[in-house]
Amino acid sequence: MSMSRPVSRRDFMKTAAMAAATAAAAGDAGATLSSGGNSLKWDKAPCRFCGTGCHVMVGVEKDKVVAIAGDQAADVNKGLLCVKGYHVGSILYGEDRLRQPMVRRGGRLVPTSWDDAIDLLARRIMAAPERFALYGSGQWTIPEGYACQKLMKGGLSNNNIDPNARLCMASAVTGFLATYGVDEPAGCYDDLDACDVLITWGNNPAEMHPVLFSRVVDRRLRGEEVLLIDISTRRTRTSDQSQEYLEMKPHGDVAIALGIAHLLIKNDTYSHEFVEKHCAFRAQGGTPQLRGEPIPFEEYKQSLEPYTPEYVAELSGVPAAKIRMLADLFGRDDLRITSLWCMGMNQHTMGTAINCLVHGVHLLSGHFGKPGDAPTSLTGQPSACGTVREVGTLAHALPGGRVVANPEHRKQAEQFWNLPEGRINEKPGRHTVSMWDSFCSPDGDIDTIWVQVTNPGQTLPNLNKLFERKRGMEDKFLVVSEVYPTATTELADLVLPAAMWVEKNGIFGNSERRTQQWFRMVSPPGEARDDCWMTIAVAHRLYELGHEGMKDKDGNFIFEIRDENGRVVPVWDFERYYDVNVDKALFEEYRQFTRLKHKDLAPYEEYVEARGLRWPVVQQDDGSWRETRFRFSAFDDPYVSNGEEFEFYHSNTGDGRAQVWFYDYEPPAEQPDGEYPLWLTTGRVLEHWHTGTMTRRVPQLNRAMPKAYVELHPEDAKELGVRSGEPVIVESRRGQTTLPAWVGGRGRPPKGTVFVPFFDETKLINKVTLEAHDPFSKQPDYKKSAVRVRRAQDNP
Amino acid sequence: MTTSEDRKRRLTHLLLAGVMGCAVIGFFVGLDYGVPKADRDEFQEEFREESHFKVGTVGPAVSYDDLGKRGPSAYGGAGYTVSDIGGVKGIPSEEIEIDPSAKPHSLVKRASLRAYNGAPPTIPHSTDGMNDLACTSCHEQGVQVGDVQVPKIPHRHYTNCQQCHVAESDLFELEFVVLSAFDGKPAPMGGDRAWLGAPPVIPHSTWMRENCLSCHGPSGRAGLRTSHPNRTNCMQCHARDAVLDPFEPTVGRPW
Repeated sequence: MSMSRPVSRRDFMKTAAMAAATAAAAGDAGATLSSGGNSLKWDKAPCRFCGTGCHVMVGVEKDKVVAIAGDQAADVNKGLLCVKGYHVGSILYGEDRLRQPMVRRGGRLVPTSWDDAIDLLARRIMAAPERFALYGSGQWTIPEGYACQKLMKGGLSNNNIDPNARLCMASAVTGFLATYGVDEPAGCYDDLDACDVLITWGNNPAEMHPVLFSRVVDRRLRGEEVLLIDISTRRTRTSDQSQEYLEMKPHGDVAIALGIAHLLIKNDTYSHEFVEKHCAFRAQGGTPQLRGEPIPFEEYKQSLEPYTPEYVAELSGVPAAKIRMLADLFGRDDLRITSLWCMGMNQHTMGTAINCLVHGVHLLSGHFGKPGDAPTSLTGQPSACGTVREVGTLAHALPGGRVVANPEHRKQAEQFWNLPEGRINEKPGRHTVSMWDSFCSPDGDIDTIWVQVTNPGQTLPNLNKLFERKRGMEDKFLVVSEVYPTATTELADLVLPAAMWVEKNGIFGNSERRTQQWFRMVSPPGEARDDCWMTIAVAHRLYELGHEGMKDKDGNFIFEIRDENGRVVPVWDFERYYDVNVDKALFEEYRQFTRLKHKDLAPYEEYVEARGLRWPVVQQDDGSWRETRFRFSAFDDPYVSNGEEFEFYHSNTGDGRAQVWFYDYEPPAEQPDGEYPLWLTTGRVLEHWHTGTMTRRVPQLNRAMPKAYVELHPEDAKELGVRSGEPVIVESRRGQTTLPAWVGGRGRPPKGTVFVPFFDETKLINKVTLEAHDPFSKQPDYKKSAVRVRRAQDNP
Repeated sequence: MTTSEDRKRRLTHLLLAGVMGCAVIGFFVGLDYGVPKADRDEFQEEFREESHFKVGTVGPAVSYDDLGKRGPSAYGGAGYTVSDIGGVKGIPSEEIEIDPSAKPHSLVKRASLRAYNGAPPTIPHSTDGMNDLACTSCHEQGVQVGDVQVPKIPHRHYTNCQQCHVAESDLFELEFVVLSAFDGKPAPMGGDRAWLGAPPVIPHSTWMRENCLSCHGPSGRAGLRTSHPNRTNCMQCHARDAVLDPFEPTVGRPW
């Protein structure tokens, strides 16, 4: 049976609420009344931008998005959006949308057909499957990421698949794994409604997660008291709204967390009950490894001994009195404390360590597992959690929180995928930095990379080394699925025009474990097509070319999708792609994996009705599906054993306990010196999302923030003789870029620190940043490079 | 009831804020960045020629200093000085005469600040160095400055103003420009009436517009004000339009 297509939904006309008015009413000065929107149709979708996961209502008329409204029925945002969300509809309509496949011939990109493009890519893979890599993102929908995961690990026996999320939240993952034995936050956004104290650790939610920040600060107008403490290397809009702004030196967060733990022990204000019942202690032994070695509580206490408030003040720059204030707050059991963090703690050469230490402070003090008491990491991308962390689109992972190195895990995946035993390769593939280094090295073993839904030509650190070197390398082949021309398509050999957001079906997973579904609402422009279709089409072309990996153990195509009558639908033919709901088919297959580690997802239909559900979503006796807000807490999590108040049921020690870690403070990988005397920290701004590919095509956002800049402290500016707006050169040992200076701007760095946002492709700050990364998460530290700044006029 | 002392105190605050604002802006204006500004009059002319209001264009932000200098331009009003700052008008108890001829002009201005009907308006003035407290100092109640009406916030329980409302940068010029083909839901000219004399339905979403008088009371734009501000139960007569106020999806499900 042919299913009705989304296009036909536009024909479904609701009776007009009002007739299109043509008569001019008396007193209206002869003005013609506009029609009241009687052909406007609304449907729900999660916002395309950050990891908050707001729901928007999308207003569609004549196959175009014409309006956006905050979704009043959505738990996350309760009808509110930020300025990006309100203008998200515009992102589809930049006039330079990519509309046809293009291939590089004689140095120029020229149009080609879809058939030729898919064939070219498939043959390139077929020639050397082990030299192929797939680079994706936390903007992949769950089915898109799942299809790529299956193509690579289940089809090509190739683990060279990694996402940009490696640059974004990999340290949060390793922090959760090392502490709880399982990824993702225990709490959720409900904590923001209940906390008495909110601590932002190197985090600026006022600009980066504005809806969540509003959820907290708007409580004050209702007469509630919330103490906001901002620990940061620079003053931001978040600092402006906080009662306490603690300005720290880079890596000061590590010292501060150790200082709090030190005082909790010294003052005997830690939670004896929580520690005795639910905690074990851990540190690194001889060979550093993610899961470390158990240590006795006594050793943990002794290790903390040196981290007195005075020593911490010296390391962090935060006065000892403020360290005592933080410890006193954590020492009180009448307060609810929520910690939020994002890139500040994740883009950190001690990223795993600082994540573990902040979890440790919450566990040690018992500020855990009650509404308002939560250590919660935020994500920057709409499906960093849903696709990368849950589907496991990382070089070492399998869906459902499993890993390729474990034979049992491989066997289980092969069983779900109906593959012959031994199909999945046991050796982890290359992580992001290593993948691009290999691709850009003449003798590197990666020679083809397919990039989907991300822009590494702008976001990789040390771009000259990890991306620009590709220029002119004839035997390296870069394939880019994109929606607009970017810094990445600039070097692409094959460009595949992609459908985006509500031009396709999709499912995202936000920062609070919430899985969110939407339907295709408008047609993509020109010949642009779904990313997931591209993956399946390439797989099918490989199948036709005789690649054995594209067959399951019964000889069937690995992406065989059937309609409700059991007939195979040739979804690799785009004309037939929407004859069946491919998203639903892939999601239902993926769902089997989610039950392996208590991350249970509900059937697809449940998400069609809901504004997202937080996993584990467990079926009740009456057949309904219930989401879980607070994991590991007996009052809400059905997987906690009877009689326990809390249980960490994936404990690394196998006894239901969480691990409280000790890590010694280490200085940053690169520090200012005589030659490069300033700290450079990078980040984002409210108006632009990541590399600006989408937001810079929205006039309202582009005009509000037209270009990147470098924030300077007034004294540094004075020494350099630089005024606001004047161009300066920011340079490191690796590269340089020219930007206008901004003194006393939106963010105010301390003397000796400069800040540059990374959204501007004409001012690539990542030519300057350092690729040094955390040893466990492999996530680079974009927040700490040594640079010098000089006036552009004097030194062109 | 506002006492005259209250009014004096507010006026003093406004004067001080105005003087400080001018000082800050003067500083920045003194540094010549050569920021290009679109001609707003031309923009409005183009708007008027349309058979219906087209939205999706961004209105340029104008510095306070410019407003005073440029005379009848940026806000469509005469140039003003700090001494023109008036207080908040009370709600009259009598039915008031409205001037329908002011309506098209006000609608053009209103639409020019929105990407589509329902979008949060962009800020038509400089916000350099301002925080959310600065926003509320004028917009909490709304004030009159010459014939320029400073609008009153219709949703006071949100405090992070610049999360939704942004101004055009007056420090950095545009370099990276891609034209947009986004054609937003047009602004309404007014609410539909069932018949001549029937109360018009509300031609926009009512979400986050708890206080109708913010825009339709004395602090609203000329031509958009109600003739009967003393009748405060607005939605007794003026109905919402569910098509503009979405709560649940209004499309069929394909699968």
